[in-house]
Amino acid sequence: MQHRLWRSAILLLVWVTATSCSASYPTAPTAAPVRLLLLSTSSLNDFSFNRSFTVKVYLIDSDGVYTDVTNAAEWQVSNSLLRVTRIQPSGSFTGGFSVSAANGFNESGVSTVTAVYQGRTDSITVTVYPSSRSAPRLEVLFSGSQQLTPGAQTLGVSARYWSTPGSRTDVPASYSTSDPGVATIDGARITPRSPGKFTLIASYEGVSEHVLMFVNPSEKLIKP
Amino acid sequence: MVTALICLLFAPASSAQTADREIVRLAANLYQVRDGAQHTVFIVTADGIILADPLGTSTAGWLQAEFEKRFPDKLVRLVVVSTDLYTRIEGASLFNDTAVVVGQSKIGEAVRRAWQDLPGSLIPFDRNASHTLEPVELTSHPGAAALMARDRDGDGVLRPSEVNSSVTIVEREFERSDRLNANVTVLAPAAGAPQLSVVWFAEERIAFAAAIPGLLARPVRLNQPNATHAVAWARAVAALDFDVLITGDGQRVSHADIEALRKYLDALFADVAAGYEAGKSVDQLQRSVTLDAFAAAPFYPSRRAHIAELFDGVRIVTADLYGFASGRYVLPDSAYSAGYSLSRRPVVPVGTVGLRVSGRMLGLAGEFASGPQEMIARSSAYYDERIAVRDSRVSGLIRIGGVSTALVAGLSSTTTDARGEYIARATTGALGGRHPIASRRRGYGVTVGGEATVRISTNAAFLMTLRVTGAVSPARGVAPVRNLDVQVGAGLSIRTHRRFRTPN
Repeated sequence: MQHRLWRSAILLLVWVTATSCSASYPTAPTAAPVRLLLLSTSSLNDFSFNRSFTVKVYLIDSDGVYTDVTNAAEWQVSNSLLRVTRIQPSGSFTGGFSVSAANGFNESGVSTVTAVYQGRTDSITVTVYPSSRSAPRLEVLFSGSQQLTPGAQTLGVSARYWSTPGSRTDVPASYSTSDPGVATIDGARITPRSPGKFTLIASYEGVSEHVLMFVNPSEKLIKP
Repeated sequence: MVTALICLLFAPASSAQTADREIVRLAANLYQVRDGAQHTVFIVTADGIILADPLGTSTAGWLQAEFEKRFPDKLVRLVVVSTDLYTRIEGASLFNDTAVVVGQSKIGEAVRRAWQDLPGSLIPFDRNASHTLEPVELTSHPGAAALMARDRDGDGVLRPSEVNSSVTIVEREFERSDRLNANVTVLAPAAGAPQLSVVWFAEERIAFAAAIPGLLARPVRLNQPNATHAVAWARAVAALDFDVLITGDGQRVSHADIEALRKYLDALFADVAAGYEAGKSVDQLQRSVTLDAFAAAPFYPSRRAHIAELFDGVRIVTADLYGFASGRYVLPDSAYSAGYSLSRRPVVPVGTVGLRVSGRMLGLAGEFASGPQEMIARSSAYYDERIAVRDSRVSGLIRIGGVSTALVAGLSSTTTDARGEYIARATTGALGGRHPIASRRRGYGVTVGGEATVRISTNAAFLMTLRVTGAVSPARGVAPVRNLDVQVGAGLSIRTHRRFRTPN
């Protein structure tokens, strides 16, 4: 009887020791399915002033994870107003594509830039203004870099009102965003929420300005 | 010739004592020897003579002469030393030539102790109690000249090492019974008490014991040398099949008397041991242990003294295997949850197994605790984490307390193993997406607590436990840090070993 008791106790101890020291997670991580393609760029509000801008395209999965496929994507422009040029890698820069006016800024109009990757597409519509724009109009100014990423600092905005092409005044405009899921605005500060496109709308005395903006994915792990 | 010389040297001064010797036949081949108040026995077998305690050298010399006269074709082949009294074994030196002298292991120590003093027959001459003999002290001794011849270093002083006979004893660790031949068995009823050995002559149904542990005194004194030895002795001897037990001082005790005493001591010891284990005092036991069934026995009037003697002599060692299920509450790790929405159960189940070795009030315990893994999830806008965490804890605890309640304290080592995955959102590159988590860290802490026990049978008890563990050096892995946890549980304790030991 005592031997059986001891044997049972030892077996119990061995079993407990063997099975209880490690934890086991029920599933191994699996890749999340692709959700969409996102074409992103820096802000376009100053494009009319004869500058080019870079474009990137990301593949987004259902976990909200972004893979940069800029160099692998195919780029298309809807008309001859714009052109897309490859930028060669240099130093830490991995290369990419630049969008610029095909004919300088002598010609105004609307053009669409499209990225195609693995059968998915995303586009942005670009308006090319002449070097001298009409008035009255609003100009939106930013307090810092427009390279917005989730979890980063907020960005202050302000507005300048052009009553005539030669007369301008700083004014307290009102602001709103087209997609609060991507960015929210509180007074005159933009808070990036998640990567994506949104339109910042500034309004003052019946005059409004629409600025296409982007929140780009972070290159760092975002933890509280 | 040598024998004669030794007999002459150590012969008592009084010649009257020399005449006070006799050999009495007890059975066909079994004889009782008396020299004054000292008694012993021998048996004549086909292989030779087996002699119990040979007594002093004088008696042994006389015996040797008697053997030559009565049994001229028999030699003494075995001398059984059943006591540590040198006065009863010094005569063995006379039989070293033909016999093997056997005794329990501690007999050797007794002999060595005796060598540090004079033989009993010479002590009366040591008038200045110097433990040596000067010539002036030996003037009245008839063998003074021969004695002084043993002054090997020639300093004019006889030291114990110069006068004591050399006895070669084969020390043997007697088992409960050690059969010397088909008829003669030696028992060591109480381990560690060589003075309580018994020689049992099965065919003659007679036993011999040089000393009995105070059982024959009136009132019976159990604490000579030790109360628990007395109980062990009574149990072992009562189990022998004999009619009469002869003692070293010549008393004859019937088996019925020993058996009655054994029953009384067993009952007394059981009650005292249980009370001792339960933490009761001597006074409490003297009031509660009445043993009315033995009220008419001659030793009953000394019951209160016996309880005190047994109480003083008893030491308990128990070993218990125990297990309990408990709920463990872990103090939240605020740093782990800051900025996240956290999902975890406040209390997780834990199973603990342990082995405890205890004395009456002090014990040591080793515990191993583990249980089902705990699922912990935390999430924020851009980060989700879900891990399975299992803690395994080994503790070494000191237990202070009695049978029913005790406090425990000690050191513990906790291994925290975490497995799982995290999802990093809104992030590019290799940092984003789903990633496995694996972390195994060990931390150290201090455990304190208590336990209450309710005995449900002789060997089983219901156990309620409390353990509080504070981390001194917590495990810092991917899991929440366990700075403090509280564990409350209940279970069973199985006694695997319970032994009452003598204090020496």
